Amino acid sequence: MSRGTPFSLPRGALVPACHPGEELLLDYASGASSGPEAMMIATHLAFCAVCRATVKVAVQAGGALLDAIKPAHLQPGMLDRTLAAIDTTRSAVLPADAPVPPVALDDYLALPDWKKLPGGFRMRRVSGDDRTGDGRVWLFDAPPGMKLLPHRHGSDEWIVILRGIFVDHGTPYRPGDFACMADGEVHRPTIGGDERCVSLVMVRESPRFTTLLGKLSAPFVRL
Amino acid sequence: MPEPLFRAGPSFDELIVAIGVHQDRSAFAAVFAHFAPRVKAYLMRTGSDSVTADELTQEVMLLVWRKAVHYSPAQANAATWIFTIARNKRIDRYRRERHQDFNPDDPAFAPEPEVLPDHRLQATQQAQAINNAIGRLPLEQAALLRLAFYESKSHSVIAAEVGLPLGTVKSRLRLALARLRGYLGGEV
Repeated sequence: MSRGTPFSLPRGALVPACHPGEELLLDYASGASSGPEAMMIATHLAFCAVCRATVKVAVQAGGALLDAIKPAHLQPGMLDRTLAAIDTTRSAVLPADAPVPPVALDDYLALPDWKKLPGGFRMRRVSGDDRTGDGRVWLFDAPPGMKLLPHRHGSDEWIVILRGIFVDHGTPYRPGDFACMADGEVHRPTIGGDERCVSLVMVRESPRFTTLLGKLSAPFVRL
Repeated sequence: MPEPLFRAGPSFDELIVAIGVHQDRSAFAAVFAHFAPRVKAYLMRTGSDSVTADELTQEVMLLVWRKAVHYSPAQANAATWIFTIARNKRIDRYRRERHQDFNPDDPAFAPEPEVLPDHRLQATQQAQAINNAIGRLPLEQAALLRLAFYESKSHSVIAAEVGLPLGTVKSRLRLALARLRGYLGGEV
């Protein structure tokens, strides 16, 4: 079972065309990503065997570097204490890692407590803590043909498409595709194709709308 | 105490299998002797003080014992496997949100499109190949890779701390990873 993405995937998905930069995969492998960042990367990885292979190489590098590190001095008697702890641990053998079975996307979409906006757009917070500044992850569910209001991000924004087609700056993004909108970039994405587009979006701070209509609606779409 | 260049006897991979299958305490002692001081060094470089690092090292080694039954040498060599346990322990300790780890062999995932280069090698060969590959990296790339793993700093934090432009750090890390993949996929 996957712990990486909150959603299970359709079978036979295509290899994504748009990937996170390798420096982001390296941050993930070294454990430097924040929780929300790691969720975004893990979701892309669930779709993408190519990036999984890159992460695997990076983690192997981590193993090789651990092997090569200058060893520290342990407190005396640590092995004996660890063996004693083994004897006192009630369940000596841990079950294999399977703590968070992914929720089927349709089950998630059926949950009642979505925040609904005009035009058939809705969103739901998936993860993230306002206090840490590490980013917050939202699930967006938008109808086909929808044009989102033009807005500018005060920080980078990451998107992984889960279903449907999302078009930004003329580039279509399909399921599994990872897009990173740069800090300060203005964009006005649209939903392509003829099905609803579901995407996982990480923001670090709420976007600033660049039109009057957007500014008026800002209080309702605070992320 | 210097370690011999070639160790006779079972590899660490085999020792971990023995812990899992036979609850072999002498195998555990051998794995502990090699890895516990390294795990402690890793934890100290990523920000733990010596006392906390000792405590976390003991927890990591306890997990090695308890998870050994699930260890598969075909998936990861001993050092890689213990690295991921130590990394996740550090994240659990210092962050409220746990690392979103994933199992590359999860059958729910999109299938592999082709035989990927690193699948052609056995884990132990891979360990050797990756060591060689890191040794062959240009110094400035190897240095950034060490910072990334030994101090668990993100590429943007590294850029700020070493005073290099973000683009330079990104491109060096990208080149380093591409080279490692290339070396692993090449004729080793």
